[in-house]
Amino acid sequence: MSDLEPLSGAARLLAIEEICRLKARRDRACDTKDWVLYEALHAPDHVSENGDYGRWTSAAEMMVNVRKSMENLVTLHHSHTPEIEFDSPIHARGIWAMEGMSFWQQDGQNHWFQAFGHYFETYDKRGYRWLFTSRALKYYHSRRSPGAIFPPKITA
Amino acid sequence: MTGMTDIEQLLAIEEIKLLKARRDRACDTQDWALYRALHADHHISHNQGHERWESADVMIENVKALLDKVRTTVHHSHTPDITFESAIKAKGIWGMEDLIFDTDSGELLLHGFGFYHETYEKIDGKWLFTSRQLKRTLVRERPEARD
Repeated sequence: MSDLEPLSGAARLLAIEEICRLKARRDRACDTKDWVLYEALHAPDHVSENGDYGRWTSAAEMMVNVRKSMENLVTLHHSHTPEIEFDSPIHARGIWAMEGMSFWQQDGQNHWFQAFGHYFETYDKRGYRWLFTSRALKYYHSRRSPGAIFPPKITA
Repeated sequence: MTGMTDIEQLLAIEEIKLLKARRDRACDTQDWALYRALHADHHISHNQGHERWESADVMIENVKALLDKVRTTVHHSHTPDITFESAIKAKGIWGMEDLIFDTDSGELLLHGFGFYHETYEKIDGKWLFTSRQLKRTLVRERPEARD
């Protein structure tokens, strides 16, 4: 690690751990539908870009849509092998490998969707806490049960 | 003794984990330039069912021929066991799961589990792969086929 790294030594290690914990909480909050926790992990100006649902430009907009879209789904989000890098002591980027699954009922039938891809994320340290400031999810492979409509329509 | 301080060892573990993450991502997104750049020239690969590949260039040729455009792969690695022989030599064992799909038909050709046994060297200030052997514990071939 060179002296030019914006964060070095123990400070770097602790920041990596904090960002990994932030990510762990996000995946857990999503799958347990703990929306209070979910929102608390994101900066107010967080931007989400998700192939399934489009682009949301604030945490508040994300929460309205996430709640609605997840309401009728049982979800699984597993994230693996982080690549965390620092642009400054308070700005970081991360890439995570992911598998996602969703299960739901459609016209009385069980359906599923499975996807593999990468999360491209940014994080800021605001005050004493690292928070998500953006997340883009890019799938390289997905599949679904025959006849499945995914994502299921969001009803107003 | 590795001649590393505790912090140096922890930082090196993070760099090796990042190297591994990039390798899995480069493979699954078929970014072969990135894949090659993560391996030392003298890297040796040993995969069950294939001959040993004795250099990084031979590896890239073979990996491309096997996967590029015709296969869609998922490589997920877990629970690294990283130990140091010296400040510039390390070994790692990772739990792994992989899925290999036929890109055209989408058929799941293989669902496998096992352990990657790897070595790494710090060359010109960067950790690189110097060897990889995949020891599989289970291979399920065409597990979803109905015929």
